[in-house]
Amino acid sequence: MTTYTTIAEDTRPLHHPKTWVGKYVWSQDHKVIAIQYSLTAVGVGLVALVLSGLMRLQLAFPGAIPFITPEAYYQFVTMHGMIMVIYLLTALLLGGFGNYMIPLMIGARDMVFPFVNMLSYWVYLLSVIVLLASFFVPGGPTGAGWTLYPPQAITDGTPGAGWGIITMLASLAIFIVAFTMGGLNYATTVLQARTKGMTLMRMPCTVWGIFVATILGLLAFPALFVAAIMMMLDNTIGTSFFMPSIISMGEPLSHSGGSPILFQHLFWFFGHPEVYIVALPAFGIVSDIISTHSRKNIFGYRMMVWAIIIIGVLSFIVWAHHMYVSGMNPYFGYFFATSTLIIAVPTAIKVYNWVLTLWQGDIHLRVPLLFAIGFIFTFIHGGLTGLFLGNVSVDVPLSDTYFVVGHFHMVMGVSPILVIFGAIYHWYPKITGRMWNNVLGQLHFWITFIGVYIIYLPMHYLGLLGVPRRYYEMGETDFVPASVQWANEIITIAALTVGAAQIIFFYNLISSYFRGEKADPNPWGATSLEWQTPDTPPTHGNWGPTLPTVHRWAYDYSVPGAAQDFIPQNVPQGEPGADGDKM
Amino acid sequence: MRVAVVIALLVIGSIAFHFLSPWWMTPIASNWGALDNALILTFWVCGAVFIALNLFLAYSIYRFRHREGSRATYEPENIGLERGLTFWTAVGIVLMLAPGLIAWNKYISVPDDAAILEARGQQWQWSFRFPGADGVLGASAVEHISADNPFGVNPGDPWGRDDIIVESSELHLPLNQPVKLLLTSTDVLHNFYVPQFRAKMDLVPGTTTYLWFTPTKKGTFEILCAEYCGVGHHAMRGYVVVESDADFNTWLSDFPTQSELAGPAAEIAAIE
Amino acid sequence: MSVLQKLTEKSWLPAGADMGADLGMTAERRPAIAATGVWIYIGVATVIFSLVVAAYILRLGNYGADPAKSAELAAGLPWWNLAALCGIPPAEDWRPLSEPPLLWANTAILILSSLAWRKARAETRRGQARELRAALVAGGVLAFAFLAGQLVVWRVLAGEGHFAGAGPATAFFYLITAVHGLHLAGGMAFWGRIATRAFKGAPPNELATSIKLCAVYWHYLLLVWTVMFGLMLIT
Repeated sequence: MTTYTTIAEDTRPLHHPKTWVGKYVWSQDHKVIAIQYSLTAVGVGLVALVLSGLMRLQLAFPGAIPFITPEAYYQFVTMHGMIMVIYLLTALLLGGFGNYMIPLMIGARDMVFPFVNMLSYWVYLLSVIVLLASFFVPGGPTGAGWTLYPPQAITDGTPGAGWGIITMLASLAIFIVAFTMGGLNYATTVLQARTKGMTLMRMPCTVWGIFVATILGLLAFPALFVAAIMMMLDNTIGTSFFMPSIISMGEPLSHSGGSPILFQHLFWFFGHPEVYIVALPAFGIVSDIISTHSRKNIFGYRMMVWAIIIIGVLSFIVWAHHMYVSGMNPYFGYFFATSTLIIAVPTAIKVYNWVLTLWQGDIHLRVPLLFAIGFIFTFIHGGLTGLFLGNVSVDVPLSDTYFVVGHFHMVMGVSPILVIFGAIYHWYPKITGRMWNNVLGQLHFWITFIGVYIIYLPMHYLGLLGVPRRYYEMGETDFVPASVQWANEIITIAALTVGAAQIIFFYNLISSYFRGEKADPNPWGATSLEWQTPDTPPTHGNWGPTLPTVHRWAYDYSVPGAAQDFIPQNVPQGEPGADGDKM
Repeated sequence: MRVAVVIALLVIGSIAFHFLSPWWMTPIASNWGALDNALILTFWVCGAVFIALNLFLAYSIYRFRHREGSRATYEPENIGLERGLTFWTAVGIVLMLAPGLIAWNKYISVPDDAAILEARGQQWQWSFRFPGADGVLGASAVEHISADNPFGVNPGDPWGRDDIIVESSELHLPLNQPVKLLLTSTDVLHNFYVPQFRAKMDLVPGTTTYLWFTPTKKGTFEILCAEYCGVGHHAMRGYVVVESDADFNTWLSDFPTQSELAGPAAEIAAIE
Repeated sequence: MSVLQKLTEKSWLPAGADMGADLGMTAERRPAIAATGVWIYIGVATVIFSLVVAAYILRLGNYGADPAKSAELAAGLPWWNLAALCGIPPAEDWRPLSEPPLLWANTAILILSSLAWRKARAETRRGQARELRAALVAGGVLAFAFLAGQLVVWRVLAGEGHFAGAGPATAFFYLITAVHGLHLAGGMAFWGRIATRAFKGAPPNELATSIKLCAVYWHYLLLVWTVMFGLMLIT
């Protein structure tokens, strides 16, 4: 038996800052860094939300707002997409939730490299500043679409083809450096800093989701990094990695021989795993929310973990399903359609298991669970429409139409964001020590959930009709009936309503922080370690003098014969009254 | 409780929306019924799964909602059930994938009797080139493009001299004649998309891509660009007019050949 | 326990109290933690360099824009040809770069630098503080010389009129050397920390972990350089 020393007995204790700046600004505490990450991500996310409102206004009332020119519209499209996918979702789920939850859930005092972790946040902030600076450079931000396809991204017919694209590429490269520093921490912490008894299969699904998503991010972001650097060189010093010889706006350019499709391969080699970088943490978190609030273990835990791993591995061999009509070798279609549809199997299993967790549960319909149920509904919808787009020949009529817009917003916009809302309501009492207002929480859920369905369901039908995406205005088009315009107006009204409803959410969070009821340390009766900290909110070092020891998995809910309907992970096996006649 | 009712209502609402909404695929005007069939099969399989899963979800929430003294069961896993679900899901997936792959095989195999022509995209307009009497398109390159050689046909290539240059965004095609469109772009990515034909493919500068179809209905159909190509993307339109052979030939005879366009000077230059 | 066993554990069943992970961030676990971090980063770097190689090969096989010829050329390539597989049709603008002879000298310097790290690692085992410091200085100075040498190569090429816009082979040369050089420069930061500690009198055994990991990283970058240089030589 090895001797077990904790940090408290270590010769080099944690660095405890004394000043306010040391505690809250240059902090190396994973919880403070998590909050910094989250606030920054939400802040920049609000910019993207406003942009989407402006886009919707243009689509509902074309030309009614003078400053939304085609240039501006395409800039909004681009910045909205890029911010939401990378600077909000990736940063919030990994930099925010990953940072806060990993050490608490596995029983560590902090991330393993706290200094690098701190640096990760500041570099991320720099990337956000560079990104936002692009609104103020000559020509404005890039309007290349979030996929930044060359040659268009760097030629004159696209808004922001000068400074806009340069700041965007620079910001992405900086973000990737930040993510890599954070990601090294998350992965190493999970692998190396679990407390005694915390075997891999005793970790909550949240940690599994974040862990595998981190690995995906570490291996996928390099593709975007390489692509960004190569495009930057094409743009600034005239190399021809992606640029063939072309005539732009009547002027022959000096490039020759480059391949635009090469960029697409690199982009989607990153871009597809990116979908799962967002989805897997959401999968993990939602599993834990469902399990906790329905007082039942997550159904088929092992299958859930394996599914996360299998999805993670497969996500690297499906990228070209974004490129069925890109002009790549058409024989690729067979392979990528098959691999894509295979990935549907583990994903479907996850959905079944969430529903089967509710089955025979003892369901407390609190706000976090409402959001989790909302997620199941929207994810089923988004997942199933993915089967259309993944299947190569079904994709042909649908690709680049509103069907695609509806699909990806449902599956990687709405779904993860519902989980994020659920997760915030779920952990808010632990993070702040206060309870949110239930009425406002319910109101927020109902407007958001029903609103988003009104927004995105009709889009799928517009896509089936053939309405193409990324159109500033439809104009007169023979096959598009006038009713499409009404649809656009209704969608816009719903979108603005949902956007405005987020005020309720922020009001609830802020007012509860100051005036909310004091929260119980473990208000939901949850088993996982983060609810068992000696202090609420947890203090620096998380665990007081001794680390917790884990004796069981994270899902001992409603164990037959046990006195309570949950047994925390740090309660020893066979404790009187803890275990009943569990086999 | 309320959420269970709402989920069920959303399912019913979605079904109602499907039957009441005026939006569905445009009437098909090409041979690509196979794409539609694969899509419709996927639609009904997925629709059934959507309804079943969500109603089961709603029922579970309703049936197992918390009541005084209720307690969840304890069941870590049920390997048999999970295996069964995996198996049947895989069966459903194969059912949808197989017709999709078969349709794709047709989509990329051009019939031998397909007439060849080139569709050219540039910001933000369409133009077309027919191979002329010899049935072969001459080699072309961006470097050769000039005012009297809009397609950049290589002046040294004899196959190119009789190519017919259609500097118009209106393309006419004969009814029931399979066509293979060679797609090229001089500047950025575009995508040739006629909703009624279903087929779609990117135009990639620096390379040539293709798609093929057989127009099966007379009429005028709008061409849209379906790959974002800059500020004029939404306005990059064209028309395909499908008509009888005779009308088509009359239309085509109005357009000049490459050598007529370039004039004798170019040919002399090429010979030298 | 094998990974497979770890991942199939039926964790809901009661297990002995001392079952499972006994990790935690304790002093004696720091080497393992640092090693995990370094190996994960090596994984990340491998993806970066692999993608550059993939892009290199694809671009190498990318021919021009002749509508009539290119599809035919793509179809004529054997199925295992990467360019054919990825739908990038095959042209003529690839002008091989004649690598300046100085690159061979730089390569030799990088090998010596790696050897110096190997020596430093051996000295930590023997506990020879003075020899350790000498090896560290050699490793660092040689790596610095390599970076300086690469810069000289850049200047030589630029002097011959090979700017990055001169052609794909030249552009890739700049890209590859820059990415590789940045990785080595990043390693120099760690070298600086280790060397400072060594000269402040830290005993060799305390430096063992850091030096071992740095040596691993150096060998890795040498391997990467060998592959990249080889690739550029044969094309």
